[in-house]
Amino acid sequence: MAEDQFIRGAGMLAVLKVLEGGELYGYAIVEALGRTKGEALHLGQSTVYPMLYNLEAKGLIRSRWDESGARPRKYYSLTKAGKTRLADDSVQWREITRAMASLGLEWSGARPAFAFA
Amino acid sequence: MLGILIRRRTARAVRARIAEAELPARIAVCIESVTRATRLRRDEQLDVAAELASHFREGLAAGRGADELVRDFGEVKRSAREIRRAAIAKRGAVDRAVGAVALWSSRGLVAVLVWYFAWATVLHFRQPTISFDGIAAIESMRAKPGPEGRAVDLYIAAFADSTGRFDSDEFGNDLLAAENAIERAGYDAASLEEARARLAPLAARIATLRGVRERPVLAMPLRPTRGTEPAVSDFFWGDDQPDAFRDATLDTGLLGVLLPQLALLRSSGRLLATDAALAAIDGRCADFLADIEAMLTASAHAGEDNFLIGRLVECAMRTMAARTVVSAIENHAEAFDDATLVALRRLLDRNAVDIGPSFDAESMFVRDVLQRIYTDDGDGDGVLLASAALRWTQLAVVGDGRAMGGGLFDGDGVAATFVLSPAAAMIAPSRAEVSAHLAQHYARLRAASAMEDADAARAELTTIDRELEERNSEFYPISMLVPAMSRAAFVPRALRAETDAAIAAVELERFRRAEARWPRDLAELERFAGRALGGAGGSAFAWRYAVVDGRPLLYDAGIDLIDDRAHGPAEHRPESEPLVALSAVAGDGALAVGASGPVTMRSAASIAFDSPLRPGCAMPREASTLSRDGDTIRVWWKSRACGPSRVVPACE
Repeated sequence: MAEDQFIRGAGMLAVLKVLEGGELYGYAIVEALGRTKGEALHLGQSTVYPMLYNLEAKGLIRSRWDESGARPRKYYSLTKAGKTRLADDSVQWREITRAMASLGLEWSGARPAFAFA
Repeated sequence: MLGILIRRRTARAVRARIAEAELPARIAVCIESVTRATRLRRDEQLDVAAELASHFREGLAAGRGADELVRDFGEVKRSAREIRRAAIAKRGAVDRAVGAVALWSSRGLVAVLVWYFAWATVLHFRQPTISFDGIAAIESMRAKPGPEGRAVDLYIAAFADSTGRFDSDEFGNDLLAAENAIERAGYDAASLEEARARLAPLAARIATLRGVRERPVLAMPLRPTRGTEPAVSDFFWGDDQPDAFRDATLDTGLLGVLLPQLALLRSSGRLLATDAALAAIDGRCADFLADIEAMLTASAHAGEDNFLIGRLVECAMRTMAARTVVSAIENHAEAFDDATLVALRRLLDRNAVDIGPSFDAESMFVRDVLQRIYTDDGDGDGVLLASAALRWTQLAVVGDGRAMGGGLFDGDGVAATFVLSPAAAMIAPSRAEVSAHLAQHYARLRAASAMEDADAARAELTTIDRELEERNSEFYPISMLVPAMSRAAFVPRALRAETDAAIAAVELERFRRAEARWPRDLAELERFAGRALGGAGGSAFAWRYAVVDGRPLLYDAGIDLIDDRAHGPAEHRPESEPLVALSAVAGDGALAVGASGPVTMRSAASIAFDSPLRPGCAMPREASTLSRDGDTIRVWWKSRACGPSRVVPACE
């Protein structure tokens, strides 16, 4: 349970981070997370879509249907609250990883999954 | 049921939305499974389906296979659960609250329905507890016959035909013919002969009936059957035994007490009254006295069981006896010797009815009914049993319910009472409430009937009537057991007034014989009689006294309280009709028809109290009109402005 919550918390932060670059539709978000190193953030559709609904329910992202293309897509983008939350959580994340590093808990790779700004 | 319909409609819409995406069947099934498992609202499910379809189309466009995409999607149930939780979180606070209310309301409704039908099942199998023996209670109130035996056997001996039965139709026709003849007998010789001819074949019966004077207790079995009282049962019903007696499983309690003796006793009274009238004409004062005494004994027999209807029949018979005395002395005072007048006075002094115990008997009847239609919690309380109440109602109205083809006790009826039973138990007042209400009602009636002040009694009885009417719906269906009884409670006062009139007639004649004149006023008559007269009806019916055309006139002011010496109001008298002066009637019974003058009454018989309880009641025009009707004249009878008119034979 603790692991799930940790992953979920990290996953939600990851989704917000993915959307920082601009609006994306569901499949693209899943793919973006799937391209991350390791498998920690390979959340899969069954986790990502509920996560998107939750973020939307909290007002951190918004959605819109775009049916102008060949395939109708539901695009998600950050709200103002989402941007603020992303900034706050990013700071916390850095502090945690720094603290963890000081304890000798390094990432297995040379760098963390995301290169936070 | 509604939920199933909504779910099916939503599922069809979701399938249509998925079909629009033209996805492989495997993916379509996956999307439909996830979407349906979310159990979200229709619009939310359509949104989820559209987004998942979009996801899979992107995957396919990226060159991935359907199987791979479905596999990568993950666990369907978990996904649906997460999506549902997130979708509900997306809803607004009000929306979520409404949803929660709807959910819990539906659960509450289901719980209530389960409870309702569980209770219906319990009530369906509940049976009334019969703990009160109404028959025994009534019997305990009755007097027991002495060594002389019960009077019911004497009545049977008087009226039974060769088969041991009572042919009420044949006897009724004979009696009616004799009554019609005796009505004119004082004025018409042919009618007098006819009356004698009609009564002659009935002489044996009359003689037997006079024997009831020696048997003060009727002791009619409350529920005679062929098994217990074959002679009584066959006398009244022959082969037409009542349903309740025919089938021992149908125990209707006091409802099964049919009181067939009341009609017989009333017929006996009418026969004795007819014979008394003839005895007065023929100067047989001993027979007259015997007939009146037998009438009064038969009256007591009618009221012996204390049932209200029996007491009312008793009052009617006693009134008949009093009027017979008045009429005889009015027209044939010379037929009575002094001793007979004294004996009549003695009889009349006892001519009264205490109707109070009848309300006790009525309350027993209702108590008996309540125990048959309510549950019994052992503490005097319980709830109405719809099936038992309907069963009882059917028995009360039509007798044996099983004799009916269909209705309340066929399949539909049972189903209806099953479904309605909890509602009836909740809506109908409890057994304790009904009992308290009825106890109070009967106690008030009893108290009002015992009030000395007639005006106060009338006011109280009117109030009781009004309150009963106002609470009628509250106590339905029990209210049908308790009709307005204020009139019944006032009937003994009417009897007192009729008796006072008869006593006044006797004492007027005795006064005349003693003083060779009529009393100067009512006070002098009352002093002579040794008692007050005419106060039973209250202030609106207080007696007035006058000597008109040399004859005493007792009358009341009537409902308009105008002392017009019993004259009819002029506006109600047709000018074309000649007025008749009854005061001109000679002592031998001759009546002068066609004389002009005021309409007056000759005797105390003009005092009557069966006028409406509310004096403001409008007088029907026909009741106050003097008109010719063949060879009779109709006399406007002021105190009976709303009641029957009195028909007085006219001479040629």
